[in-house]
Amino acid sequence: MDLATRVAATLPLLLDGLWTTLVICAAGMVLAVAMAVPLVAARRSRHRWIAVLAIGWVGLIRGLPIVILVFLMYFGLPAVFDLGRVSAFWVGVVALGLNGGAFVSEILRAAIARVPPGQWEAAAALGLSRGAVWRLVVIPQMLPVALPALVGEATFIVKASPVLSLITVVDLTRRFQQVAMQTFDPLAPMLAAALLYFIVLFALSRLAAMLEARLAPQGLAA
Amino acid sequence: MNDLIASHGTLIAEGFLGTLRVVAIGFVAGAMAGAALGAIACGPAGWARMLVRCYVELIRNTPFLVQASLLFALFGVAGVRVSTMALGIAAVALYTAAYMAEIVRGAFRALPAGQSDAARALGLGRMARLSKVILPQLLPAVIPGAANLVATVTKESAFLAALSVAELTFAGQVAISQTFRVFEIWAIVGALYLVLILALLGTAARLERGLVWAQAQQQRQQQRK
Amino acid sequence: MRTLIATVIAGLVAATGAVAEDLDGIKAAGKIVVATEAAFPPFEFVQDGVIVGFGADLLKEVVADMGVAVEQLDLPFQGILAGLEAGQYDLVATSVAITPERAATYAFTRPIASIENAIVTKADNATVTSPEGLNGLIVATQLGSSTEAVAREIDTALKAAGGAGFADLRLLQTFADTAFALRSGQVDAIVVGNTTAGEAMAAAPGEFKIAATWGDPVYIAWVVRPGNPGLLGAINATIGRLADSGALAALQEKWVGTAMSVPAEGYLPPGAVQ
Repeated sequence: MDLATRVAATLPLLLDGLWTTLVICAAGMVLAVAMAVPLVAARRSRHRWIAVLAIGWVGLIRGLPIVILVFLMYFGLPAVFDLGRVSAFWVGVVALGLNGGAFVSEILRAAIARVPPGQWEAAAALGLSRGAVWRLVVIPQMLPVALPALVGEATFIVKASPVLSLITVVDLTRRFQQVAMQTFDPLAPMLAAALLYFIVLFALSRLAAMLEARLAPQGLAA
Repeated sequence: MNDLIASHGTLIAEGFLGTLRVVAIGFVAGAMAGAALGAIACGPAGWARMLVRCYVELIRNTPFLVQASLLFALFGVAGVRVSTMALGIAAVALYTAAYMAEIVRGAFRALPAGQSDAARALGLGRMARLSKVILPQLLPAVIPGAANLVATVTKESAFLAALSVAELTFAGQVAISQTFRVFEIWAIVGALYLVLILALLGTAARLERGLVWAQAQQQRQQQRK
Repeated sequence: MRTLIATVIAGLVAATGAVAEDLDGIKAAGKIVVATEAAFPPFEFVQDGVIVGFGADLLKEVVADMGVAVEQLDLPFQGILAGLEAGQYDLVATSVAITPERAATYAFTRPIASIENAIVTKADNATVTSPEGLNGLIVATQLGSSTEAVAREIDTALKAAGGAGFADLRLLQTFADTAFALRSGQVDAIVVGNTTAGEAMAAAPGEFKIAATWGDPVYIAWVVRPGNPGLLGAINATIGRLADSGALAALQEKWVGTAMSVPAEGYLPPGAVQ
């Protein structure tokens, strides 16, 4: 059998792994955004120690390989805190979410920083409430800047997700390893998995680029 | 903790050196290749640009662990015997090259369009245009990105443990298989990565600020003249 | 920060159910969580997405006797005993060789099989006919496995006898990886169980051969956390029932191709916990 046929033959075996990868990454992305909002708020806090804590947290996450973060969370912490069994799936979601959250908070912070300071003052002078300033002035201007970057961050989450194959999650990476062992042919399932990852990631990158091209002029005008 | 450092400290330290080795050699080789690829990506040859584009997209749109696994499998299929360390370095270099090419291309595109033409109009030769006009402006834009890339590559290199490359994470796995002391060992390994990567990120941030400042200084002086 | 992390993790635990306390806890939960390294044919491996093998058949008998459902995780070998200690699961239902170091920390069940340590080379290798032939060669085995200890023992013995020892000992993540490495010429020989060798030879006919063996056969068993006498007793009872009825030998025949003698007692090294 030539290589192309072998690759095609392993594709169906990998699809459930791909599905798990997509579900975990989607959940991780949702958690990342949910984590980022309080992080941004903390960094804008009037209380210096809260801001310092948030900066420290972002530094910790940025400085730790996700492999180590996942090993610590799955193998280390449950033993230390006597927590019993934790689900590998949810450890995966939380690890991707914690990791992504730190980066998403940077994205949001940068997007907010692009709103000229004068606009905050002007909005306040018009008598708008804090909530209304965010809703009517800040968020409409930061979204065009943040959205492409958020899609970009989703690609990083997908690229980090093979780490979950190291802790029992049968994602696309673990699946191709299983198929390789079963068929005693490592190359074909690997190429097939690489192809599937490429399709997902390339589509996301294109989406990010498209959003950037569409939304950028508005962002600059602001 | 102390007994662990006494019994497995050397192993972990060797792993740390292994990570430094994989990242340093892999990054330098990859960065040079990436600079060359970046130059091609900004160059006139359409088909070469296309090839570079394909390479960059392939690397940027697949996970590092998959790339490294494929590289290892390819050498296996070819039946060429290479040390896992050499393959790990090669995987890092291939990864670095693609991201570096993007950084160089981005920096080049950010240059004001008419500059090269203006330099030519002033009668500067090809080499002079490159060394006096393009590079001095390109470097400040490339260096912070490159420094950030080293930090990213260091983090990705932990995946090489899955392929038994003798680096820090693999040393942690070996130590755990001998001592079963899971949390302590991952905490030590994590702290070592943290120090290394934060130092790299800190350097990147300083370079960025320093270069921006130096550029501003330069502009101010030029304006005074 | 410690409390924050603890809270996050505690939330996760709440979502998935805490670790069961011995047999009563497992029965109350109606489910036992087991970990398997499904990369060790013919004992446990993945076939079309399902974990099968000698161990999988045995596990069916064990949980049927207990009257509980089973949730089976597929985990890399080096993390598997640590995860048991961390309380991630109740039972390691994967082939673990009984060694003094492991038995001092983990509670072994009755042996379910015995394995011989085999030195495997490519079929056309004419130079390795005994362990002494490994001097100066690159040897691979699985990280953290009992054969890693065996490989180190061989290396030490070679050096003690005045030889050069291995040129390098490569520790790979799975036994399949060692077979890939040998087949592709990355290493000269691998140290694995004779059953693993048999599988590799069946999967790739004409590629490999057992060039030599080393030491006494080792017993393979499953592992629970110490201090779970109910769970340990229940598993041992099932193994005993199958051994007495001849069903265990039949399972070995089915998956490994040959029946093995496994003792009912005296299999634990001195200082073993239970």
